[in-house]
Amino acid sequence: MSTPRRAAPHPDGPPPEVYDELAYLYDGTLEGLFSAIFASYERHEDPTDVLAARDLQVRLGQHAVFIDTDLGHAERVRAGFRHACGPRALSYAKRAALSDEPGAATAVYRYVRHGMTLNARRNCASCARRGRCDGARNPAGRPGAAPCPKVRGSLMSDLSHPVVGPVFGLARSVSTEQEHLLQFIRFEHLEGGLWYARCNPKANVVPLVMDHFASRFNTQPFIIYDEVHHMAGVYEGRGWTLARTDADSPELSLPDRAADEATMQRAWRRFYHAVSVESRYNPELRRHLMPKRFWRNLTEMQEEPPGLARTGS
Amino acid sequence: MDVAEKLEILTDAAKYDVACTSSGVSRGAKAGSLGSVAQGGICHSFAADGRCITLLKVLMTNVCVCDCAYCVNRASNEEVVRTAFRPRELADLTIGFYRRNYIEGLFLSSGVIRNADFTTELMIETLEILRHEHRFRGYIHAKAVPGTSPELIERLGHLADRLSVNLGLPSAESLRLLAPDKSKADILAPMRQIRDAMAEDADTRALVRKRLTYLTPVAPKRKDRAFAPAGQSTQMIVGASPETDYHILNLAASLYRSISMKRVFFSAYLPVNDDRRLPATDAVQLDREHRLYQADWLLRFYGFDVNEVIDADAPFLDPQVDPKANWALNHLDRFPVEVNTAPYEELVRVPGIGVRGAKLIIRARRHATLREDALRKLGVAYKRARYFVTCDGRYAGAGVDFTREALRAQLAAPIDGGRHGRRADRALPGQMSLFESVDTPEKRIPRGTGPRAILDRPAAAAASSATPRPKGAAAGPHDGHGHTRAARTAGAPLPERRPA
Repeated sequence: MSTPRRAAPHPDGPPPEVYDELAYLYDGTLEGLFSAIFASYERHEDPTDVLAARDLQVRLGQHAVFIDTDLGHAERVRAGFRHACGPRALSYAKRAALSDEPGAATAVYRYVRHGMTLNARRNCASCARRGRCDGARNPAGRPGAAPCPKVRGSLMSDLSHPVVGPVFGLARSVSTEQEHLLQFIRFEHLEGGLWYARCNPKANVVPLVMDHFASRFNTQPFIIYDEVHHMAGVYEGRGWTLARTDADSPELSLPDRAADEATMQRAWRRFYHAVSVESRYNPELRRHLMPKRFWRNLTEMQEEPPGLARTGS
Repeated sequence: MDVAEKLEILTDAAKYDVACTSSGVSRGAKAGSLGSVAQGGICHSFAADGRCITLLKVLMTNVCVCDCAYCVNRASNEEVVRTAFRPRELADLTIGFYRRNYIEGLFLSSGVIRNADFTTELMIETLEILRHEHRFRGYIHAKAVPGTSPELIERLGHLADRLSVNLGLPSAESLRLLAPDKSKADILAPMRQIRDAMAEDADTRALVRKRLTYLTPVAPKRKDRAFAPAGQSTQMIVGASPETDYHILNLAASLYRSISMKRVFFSAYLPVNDDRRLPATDAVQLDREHRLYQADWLLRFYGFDVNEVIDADAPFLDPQVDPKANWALNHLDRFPVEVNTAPYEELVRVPGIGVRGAKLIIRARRHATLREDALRKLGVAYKRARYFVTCDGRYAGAGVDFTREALRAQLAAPIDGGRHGRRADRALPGQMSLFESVDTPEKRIPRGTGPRAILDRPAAAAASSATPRPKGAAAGPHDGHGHTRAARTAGAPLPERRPA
């Protein structure tokens, strides 16, 4: 922003001040991010950064505002964006928002704004499809009325656009991390028939893998604990839920391992070591395909099973 | 002998089979039963050799009546400990591993115990326990043993997702020499049977699905398992017999065409037995295997014909340049292509642009003209692709002649398969190493031809080093320091500035 702006007056906030740049802070959830996007429209502001509050690093001359999460606002943004730009564009935004990369939330914010602007700016008068398109009867792109199919298409595939490209990249890296979780989660059988897995992904992808495991092991209740994001996915036989654990005391109280667990782990380790062909030994390839950061939670890479309720990193 | 010990022995015996994929079929989960299958497969771990572990790959038994020269389980290997899984043991182990997310399913192969039918019956019993008692819906890959009766193959196929019959060696003569108990006809018969059974099964299903009345059809109570829904695959050993790459790739292409094979796997020959029928070498032809797989990918995903990949005049794939780059170098008249207008089929033939890159380019170029920076961001290997494309009419490969030789020098990429692995043992001529004092011939000859340089040089050495040696000859094989030290004493004295 080159021109100084004035913060919108808030009934019980501090008095408005002059600033060069604005940052929006939110609580780190997807709903919080969508609330922040809503606030930017509501206050007619264009923040340079949208950040989870824990990642805040104020720039020189930047004014940071915390935006409270409002589920109603978030739902309006979600539904409006989905309507204007289509469900696939929304799923890219949701995926990218799960990323831990700094700047991911800002990228998503710009992407949503870009989609909505495209939708408002469309020019149906010169469009070849205007005769048979419902969107042409809504030339102002008013929400609630018919959307423009061209906007839907272009937001998904205009990959060289400086706003769309980064979101595409973020969504792809989150999908890679999701795949890593499907590959490298290792369940342990606990007493009482509970199955427990611990993981340390680079993005907050536990919600993305719960469907897969819940349907695959549908008779088997399990917990997947993400020690980086202090989040646990819990499946108890019918539907799954997410539980946030306290970041300061992440000790979980879990039952002991079941009797067959140690035997199975030993058998798996023996299998793992036996299946490798000595004369093709290639540690670089293994490290490339199975990054070392996952090894501490992999049964086959540990000599003895570590304590269950290990403190998260 | 406890199960873990058996597991170790039978895994060790099965590991030389390279095929390990859990892809080719998609099956959702079902309430009350365990497991599902993902279309692309999921690799759950990677062994120290970098190969993916997706299935519990074991032998039912390593007892075998066959005596194939290359096989570790052959009957004449007396020192090998022999054992066998009981069907229930193996089924329980599979379920235990599956529940812990160690594996996607079971890869069941076997040595031939008593005869082929008895072996297959044991395998069928295991799979029936898995499928019916444990209600296991995960992936199962089963080996069809050559010589099994057709009825048993039929039963096996309805329990497994993928069947495979090992070709073993790429020609009938090699089979006769190295695997006297098998013959080409024995191997091809079950392959053809599997192909026909799959086609018949697909036809029947299509007929049943057809709605012939306006009434809502009643869904059957219990669905029949499809016959090998993930198709069949095969594998052959490369390097144990004298066949050329030309022969091997043509064989693979004909298998894809006539047997509608899903995959053909190549396995570099590993010396495990002492046998005078086998090549006396310790070197594993991993690079050759790598190039064969690259060529195989070109056949399956890039729309290449086998004659474009290799021809009879040069029957081995080029170790320096990958097969796609090699094709491009031989067809320079087709390049450069314009990324903003070229059709998919042409884009995918550009070295550095793969299937995913080509699809992204097509997607992105509908909205904006693509230039160099956009192309880099899309994940195209621009370093290689730039010699073969123009972006918006601009050619970015300037500075290198657009000739076969010049471009080949740019694209030549020896396979860099691990710096610390067994591949690192290879002697690469001309490669420099950090811990070896490097004597390049240019340095050994004192610079200049003036009187001082000639005075510095002893007479004998001056005569011998008058013609500079080629660079490759100096570095030599990495067989220790003796070689380099010898070279130094024989050569000219070194200038003082040179670090020791």
